[in-house]
Amino acid sequence: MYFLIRFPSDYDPQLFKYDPVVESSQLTGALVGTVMSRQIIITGFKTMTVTEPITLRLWGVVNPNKVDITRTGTFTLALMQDDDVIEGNFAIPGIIPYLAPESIQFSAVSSTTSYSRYSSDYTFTFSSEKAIPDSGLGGQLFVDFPPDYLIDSYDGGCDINEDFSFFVNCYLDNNRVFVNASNSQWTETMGSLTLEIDGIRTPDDDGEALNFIIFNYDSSDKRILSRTYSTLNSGSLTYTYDGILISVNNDEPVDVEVGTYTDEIVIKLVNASEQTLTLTPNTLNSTITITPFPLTIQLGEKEVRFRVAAPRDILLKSFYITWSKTGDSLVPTYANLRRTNLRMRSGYVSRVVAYESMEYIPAGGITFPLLVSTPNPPYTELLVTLSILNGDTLATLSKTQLTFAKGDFSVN
Amino acid sequence: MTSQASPALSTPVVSTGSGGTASSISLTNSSVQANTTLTISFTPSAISLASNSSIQIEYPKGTKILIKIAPLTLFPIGFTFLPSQITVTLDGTAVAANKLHFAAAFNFFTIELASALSGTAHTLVIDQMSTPNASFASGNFYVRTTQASAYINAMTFTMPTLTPGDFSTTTPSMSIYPDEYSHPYALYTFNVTTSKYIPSTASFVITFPAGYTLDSYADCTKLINLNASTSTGVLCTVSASTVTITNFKALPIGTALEIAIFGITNPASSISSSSFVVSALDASSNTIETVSLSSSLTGTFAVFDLNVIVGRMTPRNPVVDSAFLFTADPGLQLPKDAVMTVTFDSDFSILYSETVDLIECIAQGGLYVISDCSVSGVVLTMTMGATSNASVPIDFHYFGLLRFPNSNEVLTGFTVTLTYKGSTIAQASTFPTITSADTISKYSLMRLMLIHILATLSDISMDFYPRNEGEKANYLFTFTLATTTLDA
Repeated sequence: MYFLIRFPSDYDPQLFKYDPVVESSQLTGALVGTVMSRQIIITGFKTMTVTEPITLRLWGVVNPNKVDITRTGTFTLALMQDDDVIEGNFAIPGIIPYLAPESIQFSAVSSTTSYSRYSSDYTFTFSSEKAIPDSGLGGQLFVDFPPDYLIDSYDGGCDINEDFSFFVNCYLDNNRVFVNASNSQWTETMGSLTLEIDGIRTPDDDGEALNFIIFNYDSSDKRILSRTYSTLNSGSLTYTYDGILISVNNDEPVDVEVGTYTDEIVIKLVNASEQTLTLTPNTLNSTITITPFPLTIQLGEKEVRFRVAAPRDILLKSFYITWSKTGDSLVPTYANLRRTNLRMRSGYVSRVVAYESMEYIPAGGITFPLLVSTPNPPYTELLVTLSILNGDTLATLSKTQLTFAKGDFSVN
Repeated sequence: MTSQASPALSTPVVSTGSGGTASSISLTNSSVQANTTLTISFTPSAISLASNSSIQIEYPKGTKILIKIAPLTLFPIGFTFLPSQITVTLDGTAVAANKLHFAAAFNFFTIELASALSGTAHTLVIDQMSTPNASFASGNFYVRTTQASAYINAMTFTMPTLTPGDFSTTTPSMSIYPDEYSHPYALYTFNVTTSKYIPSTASFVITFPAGYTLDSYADCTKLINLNASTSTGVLCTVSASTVTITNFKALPIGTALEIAIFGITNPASSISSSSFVVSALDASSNTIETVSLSSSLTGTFAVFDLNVIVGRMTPRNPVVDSAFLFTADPGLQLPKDAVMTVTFDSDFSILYSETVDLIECIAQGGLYVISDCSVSGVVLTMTMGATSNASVPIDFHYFGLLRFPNSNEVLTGFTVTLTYKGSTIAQASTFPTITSADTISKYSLMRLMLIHILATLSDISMDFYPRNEGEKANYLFTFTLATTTLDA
């Protein structure tokens, strides 16, 4: 089964500005949205019994242009099985968007570090001609971090002018940092605002990142009152690497077949290492196993290898390894490592279990112990059952079941 | 006793001289762009000189005689030398460096004689000259003798025939794929390695033998090791029998080139000459390098099966427009610019009053580009925007104006044809049956619930925020299902 949602022709065929994000609190599993020509197919949920209403949230769809007070065409939402509709609503009325917001002036944007791949605090100084409403009446500020920033965790640290709001904290939703403040209405004459957002990692790439966008939002009316526009004020930062680059898997994502260990993944330096470095991988999911742990690149070596394993029931989405590097010189010789994208897949590759071939069985005797092995050990356990074909009773096996424990490459 | 007036030695003589015998000229290496030794044999005529005496036949010893080899203009264009490298031997004796005088333009030099030059045969050997960059039809060497500023003899030597290079650094080759007679979109690949320097002003010309007519479908698909010299890119120009490639950076000797041209119609039968000539020409169309290659054809092209393995419409219920998908797995390339025509079952009518920009054709798999998509009556037409990858099936999606005419109806009348250059090259021998499903109501069994419930049923909508045009927004669909089990 899958969900099919169709948007009317008023929307862009790609629907989303960046990659589709589909979430639901009621469905389990990693939801995947596939977009084609204003239609999105939602898959990836696990089998479940339906006991309550379901909400599907699509984040990042670009609202259509406003055409006076004309509604867009209708929407379609259907639960499908193959090509058949199980149930659906094919006449969801269209919407009327609001006009585009007015502009906010960015006067300054800065980051405490201009190096890529470091945790940093960001300061935004801005002034909105359109007043920021009282928070009790729905006023809310939020900041969009562009997609160059891969934010997989944020602990909510932020700050703003004390006379705007004495207490403030923030939360993250898909690269959008929302400010939770208690403020009265703030007009332009009251001065510019300086918002600081703490503890977000700078981009993995160097060069100029895309623009930050600050929004002045009325959450009761669901209307953005004003926002920064990159064409009017540039709000982007440029980053550089602070050392020699070390690549993991050639900077490519790693596909992990759940339930098994991957093949060896190579961490490489272009030239022999000038330090002895210890690399400690960290994912946000404690069920992901990385071995060996931690990794060491000795002085003079150019590479080190590791494997990743994930349990069969892990969500089939991307998990990122953040690497901690220790042992480098005081002024770093090597830049921090780019985060490694572990893509959890199921049924992507078949894993091979092979038995050692034997030339002969000595008549009246026993063969040498034969190994059954796999290049990709199991995550938990693998049970292999052996039998002799054709029910030939003249030869017997010493064991008919072999158990691979987690990480075992071979058993005999 | 007669006396002769002395020649007016202080006044330059206008004539360029005459007389003398040009005996022979040879080059040790007559290939273009080669280091060569030039040998000239000549016999100057005796000259008479009166200086208070009777006619003298020989030059007085001590007189400076200048032999101008090709004065002013006349080393044939393209022959070059460096004063620091050239060595000159006259009658077996090397000419000292301080007796060689080079003109500023470096295309001629003069030999200052220390002793008299008799009216007999002489041999001049000039080593470390370079032959021209490209072969050309004619040119002459000139040897002139002078005394003071007066030309005495002028002898003309015809330049030996120059031979162009032949791409022989490694064995040149060509291939044709597919190599069937009458194949309408064959790929011709030529592999040559330069054995001469090819300047950026040069061009590569591939001449097809008689029996080939190239058309606008033909285009260069590979130009390996030819890099653009301007932002326009390397240019590939096709005429009826030639392909010309220009606008590339100069190529050093030993550059391995691969030039592939796609979209050529193979002849229907053997042609008398199967010589494909690959040439590098300079800016004046002189040949730098050339080679003649051949290949042969076997078998005949036949219209092949598109092998449509999937045919679907989603949804099958006649309630909203259906997305149409068919998957072709022909195992052979479908060429760029081929036109795919899908005719829907005659029970269909694509009945719409909405505008055509609502339709979209998308290809995935062995092909990703559809360059044109249109619908007329019950016929859908798509143009392949690239040549497909034969080993990957292609999913063709059509989003547009399709709705099943009836429910629970078996439709079998779909046909798919692929044409190229106006003729059919492939078609689907079979097309999967598509059966429509039940008609269902627009509102079905699903109730849509809003977080903020609006006044009337007709205002039900999904929730979305922020609501400004052009902004990224959340779209929330909240609904109650009648289905009790969601199957993954």
